[in-house]
Amino acid sequence: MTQTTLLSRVELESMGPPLAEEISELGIGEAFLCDLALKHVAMLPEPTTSSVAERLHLPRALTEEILEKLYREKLIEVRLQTAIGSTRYSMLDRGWDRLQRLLSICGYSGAAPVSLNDYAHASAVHPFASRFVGDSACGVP
Amino acid sequence: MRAAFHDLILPDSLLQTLGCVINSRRSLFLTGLPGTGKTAVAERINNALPGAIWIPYAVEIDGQIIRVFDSHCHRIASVDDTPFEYDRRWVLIKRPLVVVGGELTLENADLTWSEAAKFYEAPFQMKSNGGTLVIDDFGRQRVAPQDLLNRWIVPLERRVDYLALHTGKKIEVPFEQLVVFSTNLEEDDLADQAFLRRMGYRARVEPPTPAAYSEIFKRQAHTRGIRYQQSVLDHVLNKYRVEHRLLKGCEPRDLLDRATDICMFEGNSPELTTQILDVAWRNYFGTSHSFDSSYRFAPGAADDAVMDSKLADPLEL
Repeated sequence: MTQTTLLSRVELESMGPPLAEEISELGIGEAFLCDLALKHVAMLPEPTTSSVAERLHLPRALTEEILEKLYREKLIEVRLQTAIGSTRYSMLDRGWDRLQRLLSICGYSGAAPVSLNDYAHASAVHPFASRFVGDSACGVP
Repeated sequence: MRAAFHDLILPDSLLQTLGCVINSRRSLFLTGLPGTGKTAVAERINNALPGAIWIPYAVEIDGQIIRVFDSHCHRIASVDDTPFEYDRRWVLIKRPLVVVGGELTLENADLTWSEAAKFYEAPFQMKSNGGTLVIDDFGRQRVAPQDLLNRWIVPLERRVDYLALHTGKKIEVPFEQLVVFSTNLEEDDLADQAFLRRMGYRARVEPPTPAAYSEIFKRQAHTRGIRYQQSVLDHVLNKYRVEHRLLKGCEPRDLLDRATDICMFEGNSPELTTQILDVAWRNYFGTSHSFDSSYRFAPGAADDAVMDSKLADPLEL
């Protein structure tokens, strides 16, 4: 039996949306995230795991997983591997070809999105007026 | 509530209504003459909403992107309020206030597809989620008021909005904001009873009493650091009586702004005298500028015209 804890708005705000530990927890298809990561690799002057993670607004560990997938698909190559997070990548010809096709479908190259379901759910758990405003000094009954 | 409305002089009954609007999340139909403070009230309603909200930078549906975060209408909350660890695809923002006026059309209430960028921009009502959406100057849009009202009936009742992708697919998005319709037109001319019944709350902002006007005047003068005697304020109120003008809440601000302009032009520190007030009054309410009977053209005056005072020569105007 699971135990459910009801959180107040203040607690929810102070905690923020929980950090995903697995790509599957992001609510977005891995292929979509790979495509978005490829755009960032192409657009950054010196793409590293950290800089791509920063652009994607994703944890470095998950970004590394995504970049590894691009590497295995021979879309990008590893140029330099030093400290954690500073692995440097560059685009391969297959990557440029893929990028051209991607940009003809969707030019978005910002933060990784959330799913519409997650957005709707967040709106539902952010009850608009859970903290009531009041004014005993209004002087009206 | 008092904190959010501290800079406005409002009747207690209106403050009570606004408190109920904010707590109930129901929409508000705000009417009143021009200059009575409807827009100011609508804007401050948002300040009374507690807390900050998390919104995503972008939303994905069927491989399509809808960009939600907009730096023009979303203000990022203080770093102190932001936790150390959270999903950074979300951003903590102050409750958004989105004001749309006469430029509003039915088309911009839907997703905007950029052919160049090939993704969607969220419509203004989606960007106002968690905050306040003010439809200002309602009735002055190019679209018929009834059509505009019909657009909002379902979202207002069900708290969800339906948007169309360019593929034709309809998607359901949250409609979780406080909606304020603000107008200086008569509500009976704009909306039928069926719609007004759905509005939740209706309020009419009335012009201030002389006492309320005086208080607004004092606060506005204090804010601007303008010195004045009580006799000047009495003079202002008397001018309203003599000219049979209705007192309006925006006018102390406007008159004092013009008085400040005169002081600055003449190189003086801000001060309000009856003479300055009379000029400010003329400049604000408008008057004809004619030469008085004592003015005489001197021979060659046009050739030698010089500014011998800090006021512009009427010939040059």
